[in-house]
Amino acid sequence: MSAIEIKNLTYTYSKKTPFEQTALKDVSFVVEEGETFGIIGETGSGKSTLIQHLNGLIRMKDGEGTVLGKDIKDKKNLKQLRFDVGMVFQYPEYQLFADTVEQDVAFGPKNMGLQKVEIDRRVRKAIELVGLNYDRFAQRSPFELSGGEKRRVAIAGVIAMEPKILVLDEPTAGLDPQGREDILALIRKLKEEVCPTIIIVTHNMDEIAKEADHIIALFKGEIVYNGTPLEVFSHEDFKEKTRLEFPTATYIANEIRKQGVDIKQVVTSEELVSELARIKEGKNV
Amino acid sequence: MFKDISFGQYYPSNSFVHKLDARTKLLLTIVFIVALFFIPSNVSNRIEQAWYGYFGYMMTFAVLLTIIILARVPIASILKSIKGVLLIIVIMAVINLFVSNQGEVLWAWRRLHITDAAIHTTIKLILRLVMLIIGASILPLTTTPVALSDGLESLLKPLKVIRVPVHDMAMILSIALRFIPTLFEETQKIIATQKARGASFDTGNIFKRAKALIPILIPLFVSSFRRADELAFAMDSRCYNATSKRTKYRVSKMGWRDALAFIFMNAYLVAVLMDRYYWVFEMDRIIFGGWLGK
Repeated sequence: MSAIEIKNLTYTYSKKTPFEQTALKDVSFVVEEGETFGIIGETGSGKSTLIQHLNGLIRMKDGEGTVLGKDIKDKKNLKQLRFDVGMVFQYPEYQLFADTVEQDVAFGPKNMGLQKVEIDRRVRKAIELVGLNYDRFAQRSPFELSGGEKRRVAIAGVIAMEPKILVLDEPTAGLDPQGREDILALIRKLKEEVCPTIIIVTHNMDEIAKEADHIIALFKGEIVYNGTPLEVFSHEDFKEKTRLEFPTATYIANEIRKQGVDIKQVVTSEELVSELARIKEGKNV
Repeated sequence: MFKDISFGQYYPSNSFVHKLDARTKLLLTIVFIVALFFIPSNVSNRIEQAWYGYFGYMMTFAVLLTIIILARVPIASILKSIKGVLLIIVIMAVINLFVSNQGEVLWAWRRLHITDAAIHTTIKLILRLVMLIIGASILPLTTTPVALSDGLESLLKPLKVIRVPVHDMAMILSIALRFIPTLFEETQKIIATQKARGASFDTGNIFKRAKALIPILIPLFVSSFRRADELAFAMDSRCYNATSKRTKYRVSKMGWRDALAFIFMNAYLVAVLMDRYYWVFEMDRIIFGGWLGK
């Protein structure tokens, strides 16, 4: 069974007013279970609107959709949908509000109506999972933590609900290189240990090329490409059609190819390195 | 998200009223309110007729109609401003209806009674309040918030002599107005994040609902302070200084339209005053006397 199936989703803001604006147009895609799914597109291409449909924050009007086999449009599924699809928004540290880290992480599980023992177990597990020491952090105020730590606490707040699908909107935005690498490592760890199906929304092509199994590229509310990173970034008109950049490795490989060197299509730096090594060895022989 | 939120009440148009200087509109709004309160609403000692004053309201209605037509704002947006205070008007009208002792008692039950004079004063009270709100709503409908705070600053300038920080106050007002849409958007984002964590804001009793707002208000406060900090930095780094004499990018000038508006509104004020003090109730009698009074 697919984790998410969306068919012919169209969404218009402020319908029937002078401010009417189509945010999504006939969007269809499938996310398989256990997949890391990338959604890319320039600012205003409809990424945020799209993901908010997945947990019912925006109610679907035109189109069909199921999440884990449940109908998105059915109002009865709404509450369960919120807990099944954990959503980490952009700059999630701005959602923190409680006196202590522990209380903040417990907010989601409490809303689920769980028993105290179960809440405590989940909170402890989530805080440890995101790489914070429970005994050291649980009773501190979330507002006195560093930026990276705050983001971890916010992610823990979503993880504690034990979602089956995790959606992350620009998870590395505004972090320094080390912080970005740490968050990506955390996402890989979460994927392995608690939530295998992950959706990442991003502007950063290098990251998504490395992490994603499957990508859709949006432009002005429409899907322009749908495929593996290699397929999507192999399109020569990718830049024009999406107004995005190629991943650095793809860009370098394209430039080398222009010099007349026979180099295979690559999307990550690791692939580029091994491709260059192959060419070098070929020359040496 | 929520791109359709119209900020404030401003209704964009290019009408005569829109083109008036903000100061003109501010002053004339005051003129209008003053005039409105000079229209007699109670049975006075001099004039016993309860219908005394209706002519004033007729004039006011004509003036309002002229302004609305000139402003080219939809009637619906004006009626919306009445909707907000409808309950207050109804409560005041009901109280007024029962407390008046003058006139002939038409209906009585235990200690409650309604007199014919009470009915007239109540009608006049409703007319006055509704017209007051319609008149006052023209200003925000036809003036951008920025122009409004600029106009206010300009009008209050004389207070600088007695060391009222007029410029600072206008700056605070402009900044507050500028950040309403920003904070609104921020609020929507925070609501979305907390909803994604299963928060619900429309269930439970009033205390539960109030408590459900904490996860929204605290992040909102935190981010407001952060924004205030950043803005202060940005202003400082551009050497903003409220004490030195500042020039304006947009210098507002009064023109022939403003002169016309002043003449029109002051003529209305004079007519209302004449109606009250000199014509006594001639017009009221001519128009209403035949079928309303003795």
